[in-house]
Amino acid sequence: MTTLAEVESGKEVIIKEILAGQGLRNKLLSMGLREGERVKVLINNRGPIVVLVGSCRLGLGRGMANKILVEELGE
Amino acid sequence: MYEIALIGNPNVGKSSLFNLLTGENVYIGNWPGVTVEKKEGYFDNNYKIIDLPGVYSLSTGAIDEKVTMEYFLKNKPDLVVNIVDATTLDRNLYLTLQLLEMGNNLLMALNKIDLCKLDYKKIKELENILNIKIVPISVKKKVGIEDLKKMIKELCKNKNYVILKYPKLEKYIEEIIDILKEDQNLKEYNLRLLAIKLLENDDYIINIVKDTDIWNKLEKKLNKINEELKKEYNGKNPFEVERLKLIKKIKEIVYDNNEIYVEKDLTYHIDEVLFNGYYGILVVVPLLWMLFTFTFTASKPFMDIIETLINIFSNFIKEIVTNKFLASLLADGIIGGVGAVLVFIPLLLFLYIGISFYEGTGLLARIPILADMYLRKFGLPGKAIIPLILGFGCNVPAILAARTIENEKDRILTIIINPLCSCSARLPIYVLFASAFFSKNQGLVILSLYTLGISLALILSKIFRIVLFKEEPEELTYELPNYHIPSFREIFVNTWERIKHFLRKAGTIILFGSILVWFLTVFGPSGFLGEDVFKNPELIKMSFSAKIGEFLSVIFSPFGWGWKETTALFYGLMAKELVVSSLGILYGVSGDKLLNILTKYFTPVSAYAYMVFTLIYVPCLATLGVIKQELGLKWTIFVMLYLIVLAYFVSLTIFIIGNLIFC
Amino acid sequence: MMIYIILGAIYILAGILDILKGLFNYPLPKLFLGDIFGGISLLCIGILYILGHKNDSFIITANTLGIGVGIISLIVLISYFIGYILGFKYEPTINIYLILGFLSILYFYKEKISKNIKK
Repeated sequence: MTTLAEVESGKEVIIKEILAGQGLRNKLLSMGLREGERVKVLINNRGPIVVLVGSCRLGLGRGMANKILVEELGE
Repeated sequence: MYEIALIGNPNVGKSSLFNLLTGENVYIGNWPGVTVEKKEGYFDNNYKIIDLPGVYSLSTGAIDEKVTMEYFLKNKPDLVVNIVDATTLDRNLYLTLQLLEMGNNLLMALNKIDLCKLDYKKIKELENILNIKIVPISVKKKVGIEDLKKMIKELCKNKNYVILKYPKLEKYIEEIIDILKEDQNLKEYNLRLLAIKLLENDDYIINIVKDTDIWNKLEKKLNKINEELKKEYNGKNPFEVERLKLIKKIKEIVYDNNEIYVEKDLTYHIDEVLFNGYYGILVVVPLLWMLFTFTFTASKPFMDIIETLINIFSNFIKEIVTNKFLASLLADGIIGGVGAVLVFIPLLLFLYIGISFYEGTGLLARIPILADMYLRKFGLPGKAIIPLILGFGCNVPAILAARTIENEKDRILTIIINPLCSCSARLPIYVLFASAFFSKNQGLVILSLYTLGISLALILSKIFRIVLFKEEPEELTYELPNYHIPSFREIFVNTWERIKHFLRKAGTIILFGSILVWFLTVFGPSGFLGEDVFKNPELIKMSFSAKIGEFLSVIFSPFGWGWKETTALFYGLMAKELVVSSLGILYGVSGDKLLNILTKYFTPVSAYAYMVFTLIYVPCLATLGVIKQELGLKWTIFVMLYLIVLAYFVSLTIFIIGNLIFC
Repeated sequence: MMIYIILGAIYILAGILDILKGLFNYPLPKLFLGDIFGGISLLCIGILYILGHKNDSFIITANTLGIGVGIISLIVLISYFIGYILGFKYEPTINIYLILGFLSILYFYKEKISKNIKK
């Protein structure tokens, strides 16, 4: 298990746990970042991270991405 | 009259649907007590639609969410139209479930139906599970809008209130409602929503009931229930668990879309460069320049046209009105003041078109994410980037552009430091003094002032963040819509309404201020001085404004500035560029002679201190008016006070250090 | 063909010249506006073009931005022209931003056509 911030561009992951307070957690959930959800990391260089959830692109700050634990999916 | 609330996630086409339903019958105002825009419109005269802010869920974190929550706590709309994006159904359903939990007459408008594979049968199944009516639509292709209107009318007449109940939680909700019922003060609230949010431990909601007589009883009950629920749900929020369970069930029945497919379209390519840590800035800078140039350079000729028309009109009045006092009041006072307001119309028109275009293309959601890395260090949110850049053109549109910042503290901070971005009206002052005293290094001297301004803005925002707000800027997740070229309608709709709002709110302050300044100029202790006061230095010396200048010049004696220089600063309150022309009037010279005469009254060091002072001290009347419009009187006074103090100390420091070095 | 590198170099050169004109009043023709912010923007776009050797995304982005710059300067030109015919002191002249934007549009079409031929 790693955090979302450490996943390379182009990899797909499954969200395992969101380590955030109730407010932030609720925000992420309602935006579609939910435990068990499959997510594709589109861009992860030095800047913000862009992920694809369903058909929807989300931009996340690195601080926030560090709070999301994920498991990488093999090819 | 039926009241219909329109609600949905951001970027699902809610605004476009609102425009399609209401056409031109739109009124834009503010939600009570906050500066979140409130849009209301009508269709078929009998149906009033309220456009609620776009939210992902019913919660109380950001200001938009609070507005929506307050609305549902205190209002019972005849119908709630929930617009849902069919391509991201499971995400959108979270809000839908919350709306059903509290009990609503709800109609779902399933948008983007053209882009997904949901067929009639699946939609029927979804209708059955949720026990609501669903109308498939496509806002973009204008499909299904008439059906939606028909269904809205139908449901307004024959209401179908649905309450979604989770078997395990319902008894707790009822227990809480029973206690809430005992308090008369809570009568106007939607008790079911209050109860659910209390069970979710929402601090904002707890604060509403904390001061009531039933709080003790309620708190005991809540603690007991919470303990029971904690065991049952492993410490997780029970409502969250139930919602996600239901959504999962729906997902299994209605669609099985687990594939993730990325198209390498324009959005993909630009985003790859934009979000590449090193190179993103290379994209952002040209984008900001385009917005800046469009807003300020392209609008300039139209501003000149309005200014000229006002001048022609005011000269015409002077000719036909024989009474000198009346002519001056009308021409210089009132028409001049109205002109000072009207001249902003082209600027705001271009600003709103530019911002709506960026919003429509999807850029407005992206630029702040990048700026966030840099601005966060100074306690500013990423979204402050656009107001900061626009501030170099004019602070009025810059402050209005801060509206896109949802978090209230972040927005206040962005607005109160904005006057430190040196607007273009201050440039003539710099050019005048730089060419009189630093003719060899003009460009560098002027650049140094801009740099000083932005540095002070960043330093102060850090200080204010620590002293006044005490919490970090909100780290946001943003949805990044695909790039597309927005339609004309999308861009132009509401622009005029927003300008009207400015004219009404800020315009009155600007007009009143202009008339006051006119009065202080043409009147003195000896009475009416005649309209020649605007040309004659001997006459202006007898005016109230000169007396004010004289009085204030005591404060500026350390700099060696007299009443003339101080009075010019006083006129700068009206509009910064007036400092130059009033200096000319006060000295009784113009053009190159003004340059020569300045060297008699200033040393290079005191001239630089004067430039610094005009950079920082109180912003112009229009900016103050718009700060009042956005933040209220208290913050406006705060801005004035801190800027005056800052201006005095910074220029004094520069004056002293400069004299130590050069004299 | 390395057209994008040449295009990038032209953008960079134009950007630097416009910055110099803005900062030190270099005696350059009216083609340059002396817009420091604008000069920096041209410089950025130029660098993006040159970075195109890494991958296509950079060229596509640079080109889109270049076209944007061209459109904005065209809007400004039209607006100045309105001011000019109404008798105000505006000189609607062709400037470097417009020319560069036009070049970017040409490049866009050239690429589009050559891609279509390949298909």
